[in-house]
This record gives sequence, C-alpha cells and structure tokens, in this order.
Amino acid sequence: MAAAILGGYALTALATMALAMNLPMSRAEASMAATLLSFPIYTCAMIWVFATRTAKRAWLGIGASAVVLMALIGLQRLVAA
Amino acid sequence: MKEGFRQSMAWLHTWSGLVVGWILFAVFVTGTLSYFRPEISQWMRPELRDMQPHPQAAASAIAALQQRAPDSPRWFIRLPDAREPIVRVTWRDPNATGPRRFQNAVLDPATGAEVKARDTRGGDFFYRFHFELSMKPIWGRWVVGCCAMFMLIAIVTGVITHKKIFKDFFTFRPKKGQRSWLDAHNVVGVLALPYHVMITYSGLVTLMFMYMPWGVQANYGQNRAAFFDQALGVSAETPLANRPGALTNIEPLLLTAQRHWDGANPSLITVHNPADANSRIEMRRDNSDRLAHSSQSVVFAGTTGELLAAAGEPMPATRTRDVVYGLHMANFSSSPLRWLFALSGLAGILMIASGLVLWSVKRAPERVKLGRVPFGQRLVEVLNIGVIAGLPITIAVFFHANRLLPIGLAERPTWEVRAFFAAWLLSFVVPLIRPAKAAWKAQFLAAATLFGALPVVNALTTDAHLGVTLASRNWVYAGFDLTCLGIAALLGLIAWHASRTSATQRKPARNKAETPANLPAEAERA
Amino acid sequence: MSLFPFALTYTGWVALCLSLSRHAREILQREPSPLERHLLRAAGWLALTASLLLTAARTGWPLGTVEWFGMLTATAVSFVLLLSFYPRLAAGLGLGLPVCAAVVSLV
Repeated sequence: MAAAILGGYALTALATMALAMNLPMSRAEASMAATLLSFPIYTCAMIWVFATRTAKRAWLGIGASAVVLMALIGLQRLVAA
Repeated sequence: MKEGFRQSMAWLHTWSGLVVGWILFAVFVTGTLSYFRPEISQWMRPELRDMQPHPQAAASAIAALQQRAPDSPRWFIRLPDAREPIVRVTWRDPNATGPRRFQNAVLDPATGAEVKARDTRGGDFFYRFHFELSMKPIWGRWVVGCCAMFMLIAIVTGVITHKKIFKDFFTFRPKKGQRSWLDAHNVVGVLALPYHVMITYSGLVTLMFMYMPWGVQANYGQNRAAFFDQALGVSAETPLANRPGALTNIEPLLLTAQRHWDGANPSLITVHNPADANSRIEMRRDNSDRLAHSSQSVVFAGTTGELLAAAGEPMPATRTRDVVYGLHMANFSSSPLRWLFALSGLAGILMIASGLVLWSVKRAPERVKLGRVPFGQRLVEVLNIGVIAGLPITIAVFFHANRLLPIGLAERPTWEVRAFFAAWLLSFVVPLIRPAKAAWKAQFLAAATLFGALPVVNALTTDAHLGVTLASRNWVYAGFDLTCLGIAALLGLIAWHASRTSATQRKPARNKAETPANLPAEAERA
Repeated sequence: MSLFPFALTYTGWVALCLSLSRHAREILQREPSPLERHLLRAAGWLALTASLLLTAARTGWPLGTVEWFGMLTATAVSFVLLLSFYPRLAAGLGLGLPVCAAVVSLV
C-alpha cells in the first residue's frame, strides 16, 4: 500500500520532471503539459503496483524506474550547468 | 494471471472506494451545488432581489472605492452579469494585517452605493467546502486531492473490474437486493462515465501546481512566478512612483478590452496602486461564452489609459489546461447545459452512495452467519447513514439558518456554518442509537421535511417568496424555491422506499440468472 | 440547446438497446433476426451521430460535444430507469420523443 501511494507519487514526480525538461515545446508549455500528464501517470503507476503479485517486485519496479529517471534528470542538469 | 489481475483490481476498487467514499460523497454534493453558486448566493441575500446589471457599474464602483479606500494598494471589482447582477468589491486595507486585511462590500451596479444585505457566505460556503472541507485550506485541499486521486483510480479499476460493461449497459433490475444495488452502481457509473472521468481529472487539474509542483520546479526552480507570467498571462506588478496620480476614465478602457476579446466582457477589474502615478488597471476576460477558462487579461496604465500588455491566445498545452479547467468550473452561459452538468453530478452522487451501500449489503450474509454485526460493518453503516442521509439535512438546516437567525446577529455567517455542522453531528447520533433501517428512514424523512419547509419559511421571513417571484418571473429566487420542493419530493420518495425495503437485507435468489456465477467479479468477492 | 438532437439521443439508446437480444425479448417478446439486430444497431449509432452533428452545428464543436455528452447521460439514465419499470413505454418513446420535439421546434 505504501509502495503504491508514496512510491507511486515519487515516481510520478520524477517522470513529470523528466517530461517537463524534455518535451519539445517552450519551457512553460512543457511544464504545463507534463503537469497535466502527471495524474494519468500516477493512475497507471498505482494500477501497475497493485497488479504486481508481490510487494517486493512492486518496490523493485518502482525503484528501478526511479533510478533511471533520476539519472536522466541528473545528467541533463550536469550538461546544462 | 488474467483472473488474478481482475481480482486485485476488484480489491483496489472496493477499498480505495470505501476509504474515500464519504468525503467524496460530500465533495460531490457540495460541488454539484456549486454549479449554482451565484444563484444560491443571491437567494441567501433576499435584500438583493431587484438588482440589475448596469453599464455604468465599473465607473460607479471606482468612484465608490475612491471615497472609501483611496490609499489602498489594491482594489478588486467583480462586475455584474446576468447570473449575479451585483458589484462585489474587495480592497486591501493598508493598515491591517492577517485575514482582516481584505475588506468586502456589495454595491448597487447603477449607483455604486453599498447595498446592505444580510451577512452570509452564501454559495461560496459550498464552493469552498467542496475542495477545502472547512479545514485549513492547505490541509483540506490536500485531503480532497488525495480523495480525487483515489477516485480516478477507483473509476479506472471499476471499468476493468466490470467485465460485461457493454452487455450490462441498459440493465437495472429493481427490487432484487444486492443485485439491484450493483446494477444501480454500474448504471450510474457507466452511463455518466465521461462525466466522472472529466470531473475527477479536471478537479485535480484546478489545483495541479499544488499537487504536482515538480514539472514547474524542473524548469523554473524556485522562480514559480516567472512560470505563471509566461504560461498564464501578463503581470501587472509594477513599482510605485511615489507621486500622486489620478485614474483615467474607465469607459474607453472597457471598450478596448472588449475589442481585444472579440466582444467578450471583462469580468474582474484589478486596480493596482490606485492613487499612485504608476497605477495599473488590469482586466480579466469573462469566460461565460466559451468552454475555456483562461485568465486572459489586459493591463492599462492607470493614469493615461495606455494599453501596456495583453495576453494573446494561449499555446496548445495551456489551452488544454484552460479547457479542462473550464469544464470543471462550468461557467458556460447556457443554463440547460448547467442543469445537464448538475444531473451528471447527481449521477456521481448516486454512484458513490450506491457503492458505499453495496459494501454493506454484500456483507449482510456474513452478519447473518455470525449472528451479530462486526464492529467494522457497524462503523461503515453509521458513517453511511450519517453522511448519505445526513448531508441533505445539514444543507437544508444551513438554508433555514440563513432565514431564521436574527439579522443583526454578530458573526452571522459563522453561526450559519455552526448550524450546518451541529446538524451533521446530530445525523451521526441518530444511527448510533437507532437500528439502521429506522435511522435511514428517519433521516431521509427529516431532510425531505426540511427542504419542503424552506419555501414556506422563506415566505414567512422575506418578501422574496414564490408568490412574488413567480409573478415577476424572477427565476433565480423562484427556481431556488421550486428546486427545494423537487428535492423534498425526491428525498421523500427515497424515505418511503427505505421504509419498505431494508438497505442491508438481501432477498434470496429467485432464479438461475441471479446465481453468483453471473455476477461481475466484484460481487463474487463478497 | 435544442430539443430535437436531445430526443435523438434517446432514440439512439432505444435502438441500441433493442439490438441486444435479452432486452429485445423483454420488449418485443420475440428474438430479433440477425439482420434486424444489425439494422437496429446501425440506426442507433446513426441517431447518436446525427445528434452530435446537429448540436455541433448549432453551438460549435467544443461546446457542442460537451452538450452532447450531457444529453447522452441524461437520456441514457432516464431510459434505463423507465425500461426497468415500463419497458414498452420506454421503447415507444424512442419514436414518440423526436416527433414531439420536431413538432415543438416547428411550432
């Protein structure tokens, strides 16, 4: 349950950040579009977690995707800086 | 695996629905009422019955504010329209801090004179309750946001769970216990599905930068203001000149703004630093003629009337957000459409209520087997009765308080709200001390009586009653009273129904079609 | 919002409902032939589409689509309610409502 709610939110937040930085639009538009998309993303993340049979696998999936997104965001920050 | 997926979705649907169901019920009821926020506000101030919009409204409001608050840093003028034919002004008191720093008044559009109406929160109470629950705003918004997110998930999982969604499209079998509750839940859920998805998602979107600030944070860091300026319009913030200046005539500016918006009217005028040489007049477009709810504004120099900035047509993503936002607010001009929205809102209310009742009904066999009611089930039952059958009572009590409290009472709006919550508290006491069936019936009957009595009390306490308002075709006031009678009839029907069949009593299956094998997966898990 | 497209959405629901054999048996007291079912389904979708086009032509696509969804929900819920208590009346109104709406609009 905690995996779905908090982990799902963290993952969604990261996905939203990554989208906001990468969507091919102006900064304001990309932020707007990414935020609009965040709620469907969260819904899908929750459903995926509950469809996964064990809590361990759910955590693993969330953790792995979060690490990938964090790496992407971090790299882009480095390049930009 | 397939069946396992459906089972976990059914579990998610049942429990995510139950956890937030009561709050969502209250949110849907008060939110549906908010479609009629201006009308409710008017009815709750019967002194304003004969107000009319007036072309001079902006000019006379500015003249009035120059008298009353010449050294205020900011004035807000809400212009009259057909739905709310009064001018509402708010200004910042430069000498006050805290919640008292904003002062309000209601003005007559024709003269700018303050209208003395009874003090009330009017329809704003329901509007704010539906996303703040009368809690501290920040807490309430997060609670409602979490519930809305659960609702979105409950809707999606509900669709996944409901195998025969199209085969059962037209199926409602009344008087068959649990089957009927499930049918009802499915019918109002599926037939109004576009509405449910739209209203839940768009509700999240209205506060999305609070719930999900990370998309803005990624590109703007702490400088959120820059984002809002870029995405949502123009900024009228400007430094003081510290020299006195006189405001120009507002009339030509109104026309300029209208030309900018293809003839649409301004709805809100904000005057920044009205007494300074560097004053700014900002006008926001009225959105009642279209779907999108954008904060498109134009900014004029206050002393010269020169057009300084105008927000252009928004970009695609922003426009999408504006349309989604507009769909939630439903400020469209056509009132038949507003009633269709209200009907869909009613479908949402019924979907949540039937879902909550269904949870109890499904567990009735367990109760029979145990020979007693387990604590959890008793708790759900009390909450169901207190919320579903209690909220109509509290709403009616709120309106009664508006008519019956002494006009001069100090903190009158607070007393109206206190009456609301006192009635609600009482609605939880009745199911605690009475058996469920009797409590359902008593509460619905009380609600029906209270709503039915509203037009009567209105006639006894004001001169804005049906005898006058029907004759003068004042549909805001007459419509309110007539709607109360309609609601009373509906609640009476429900009370009558509740007294005949117990909500938690399940009739035995009569034929093969009703064996559990044919029930959707969700019911099989009972 | 005009009455005729509103009534058409009701007709559309009736036709679609009759194309399902369980409801057809209940209302018509007989099983419809496969051809009849196809025709009914086509008629149902046609009525719903026509209603959308008429509404959009009147108020434009953005508002028209929203109105159309609102009408769909309103007529579907009232049809299902009627259907479970007075099935034959509910089906009969599928023809009656558009005629009434057309007459009212013309007068």
